Amino acid sequence: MFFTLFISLFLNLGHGASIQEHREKCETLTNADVLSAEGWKLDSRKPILQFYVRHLCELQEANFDLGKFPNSEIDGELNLIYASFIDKHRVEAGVSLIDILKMGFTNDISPYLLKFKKENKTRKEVIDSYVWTKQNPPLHEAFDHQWKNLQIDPNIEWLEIDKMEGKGSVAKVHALDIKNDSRWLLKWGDEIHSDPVSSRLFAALGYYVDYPFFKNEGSVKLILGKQGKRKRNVKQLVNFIYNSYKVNLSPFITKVSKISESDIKEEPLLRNKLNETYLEFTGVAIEPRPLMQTRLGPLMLDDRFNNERTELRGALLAHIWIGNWDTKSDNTLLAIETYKAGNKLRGSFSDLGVSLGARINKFPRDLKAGLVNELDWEVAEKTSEGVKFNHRMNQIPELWREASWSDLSWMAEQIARISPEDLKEILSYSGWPIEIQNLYFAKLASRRKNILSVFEVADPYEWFIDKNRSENDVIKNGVLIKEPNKRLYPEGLFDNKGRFRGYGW
Amino acid sequence: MVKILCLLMMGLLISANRIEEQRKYVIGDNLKLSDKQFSFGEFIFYPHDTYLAEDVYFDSSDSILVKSGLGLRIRRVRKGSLPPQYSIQLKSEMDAPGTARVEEEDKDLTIQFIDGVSIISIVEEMILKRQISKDQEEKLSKWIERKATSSLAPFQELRRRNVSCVGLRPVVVGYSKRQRFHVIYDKSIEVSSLLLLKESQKSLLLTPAIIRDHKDWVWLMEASWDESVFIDPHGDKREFLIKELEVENKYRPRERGTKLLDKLEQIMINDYKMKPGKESKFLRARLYFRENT
Repeated sequence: MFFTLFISLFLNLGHGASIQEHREKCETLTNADVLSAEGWKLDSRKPILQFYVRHLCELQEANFDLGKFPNSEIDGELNLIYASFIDKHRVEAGVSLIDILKMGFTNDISPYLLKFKKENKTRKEVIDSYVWTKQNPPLHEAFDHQWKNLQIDPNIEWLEIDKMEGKGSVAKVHALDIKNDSRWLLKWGDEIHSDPVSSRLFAALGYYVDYPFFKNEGSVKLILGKQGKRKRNVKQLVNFIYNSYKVNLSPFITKVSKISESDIKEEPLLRNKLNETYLEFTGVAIEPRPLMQTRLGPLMLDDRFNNERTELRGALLAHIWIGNWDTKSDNTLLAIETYKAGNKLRGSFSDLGVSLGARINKFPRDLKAGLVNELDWEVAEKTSEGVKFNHRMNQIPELWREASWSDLSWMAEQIARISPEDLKEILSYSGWPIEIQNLYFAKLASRRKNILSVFEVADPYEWFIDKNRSENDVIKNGVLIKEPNKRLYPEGLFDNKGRFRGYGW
Repeated sequence: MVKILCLLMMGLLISANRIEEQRKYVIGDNLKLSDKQFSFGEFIFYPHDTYLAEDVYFDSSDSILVKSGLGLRIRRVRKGSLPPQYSIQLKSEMDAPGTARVEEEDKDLTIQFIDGVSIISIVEEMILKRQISKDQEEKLSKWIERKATSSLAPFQELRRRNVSCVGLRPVVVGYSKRQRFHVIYDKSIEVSSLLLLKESQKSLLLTPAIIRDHKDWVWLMEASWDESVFIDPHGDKREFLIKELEVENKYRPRERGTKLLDKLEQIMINDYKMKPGKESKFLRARLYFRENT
């Protein structure tokens, strides 16, 4: 009897998950009758999730019938989806006090954690995966290939508010494009420039990302629409944004008007909206929620499906290069993308906006991103043992702490592939004044050069980096010395006062 | 356009689980299946799709599914020269004419095998030969029992209803020609009792392109005219013929669409002598072969 027990335990260990555990996960992910799991009351399951999971479950059942259970690839994928689905409930429950303390602590000890020893380990070739694909030049076009592939049309003019919910940290509303009902987030504030640039840089490095676009003054018109049966008014929107995000929207609004007959003549889809109120803004970021993408939850970097991937371990250096502070797992995404040929699992990095010069203040608690003066010229320092990074972030997952020299130098090689033309082109999508774009160009080029030097990667391009650049009357000796245009950039590009945020100190 | 394409794609890919507001009518011999446009009163039937559906229905020898008000089938659909599509579907019977039916479906049958034999290959052979061997029957029964605990939607619904899958086997096979119609109202018609009908609130993205392209058309319903032959695959040479019309509400608000269904129903009963039905084709065929055995 003991022998049988021992054998069955041994077999179970050898096989990883048991068929019972596998079936329980399948049921949790597909059956609405399963109301709770891992201490969370479960949401409804999206049809694409159910379809995708059922397919995996049935493939694994077929392996069981053939005596080949478990297929480790299917097992890994299913476990990842399960972990992400469960973790989504944690994200939706909001940030707890313990989370805030943990993130604050990580911020403080980041420089001690971001030290890596040099070693001579051979590296496995990194092949295209569900989170990373090697890009062909010109790399600055990688971002555009991604959104085009998902049939996103960013050429929008008229949006109508769909819903207002105060989730996350960036001031935003959910809106629908009146021409095709596609769903968008409309964002205001300090991240509307940094997020599009950082996302484009990550895409150029080969990662999948969200698709934030900066839209300049007056190019997007927001119809307020109705809340229930009552028409929304400007005051309601301004109050909502202030109460939810502590951001005063008023200086961002450049026009309040009503839809006229001539508007309808130009855009016939407005015909049922005569006299409805719409607003225009100084500048906004818009980010799609593509219909072809079913969002599951965080990417779960430390999951065993991910934690040995060089492309994910190396992502640490990409975050350091762009100076991203808000690296918490909530800012990653696991999704299923639906194409004519079938469904694909996709992992991506999202919400990369707390970068390119993030300033964190403990007392009073305050955070602001996209401050060019806060982005250091160099970020990596060669030590006797290897490298240390002068950078802070609010979460450093285990796989990044365990990243090897080989993982990081792989990323240094990817950064080396970015050309001066790529960087210049990517910065042109920021909406920043040209003087600030030029200063960012110099700083990012300098950080790139610094990283390549530490990891001894040859630079295939020639760069001209002027650390003492002066331009017009706003940049002097490589420093922004005043606000370039307070009316167009009410969030302030020089003023480092941000707003309270509950993500770390 | 993009969104519509996506929705259509997803519709093809995902398993459906929905509640339908559907009515069915038994058609007499006075009416013949037509693939041309026709009208019942002001309701225009616009033909848009024809396909052949072959269904293998399961039940136990003591008719557990009939008693539970359910029909479980593997369906093969053929449209023109496209490759056949397979699905497994569980549908509930209507409690009364016009009441909603539960439908759970899974369209991923190509990966299903039992004892190394593809389920689709068994079904294909059975449909072609119009009979089933003992060995094939045992395999299909075994597969159904094997799937009883699976996460496939029809089996989850059976578990939800505490219906056992033990002893389920093929009992009837149906061969149907199905003509589908958009049922529309044309606002350009000047004399009509539907003149005051407002635009449907149904999302344009879920409305067929042909209807969106005709700005005078209002999409009211979808209809299927079925002519089916049912057989018992165990050697019984008799055939059971069924002609029926199914109509499904597509107008929004739904309540107004229900009134339009009532209006069409009056025309079909009074002018075309159709009879409202509530029994599914499976139930009628199952009862026919059982009662005449």
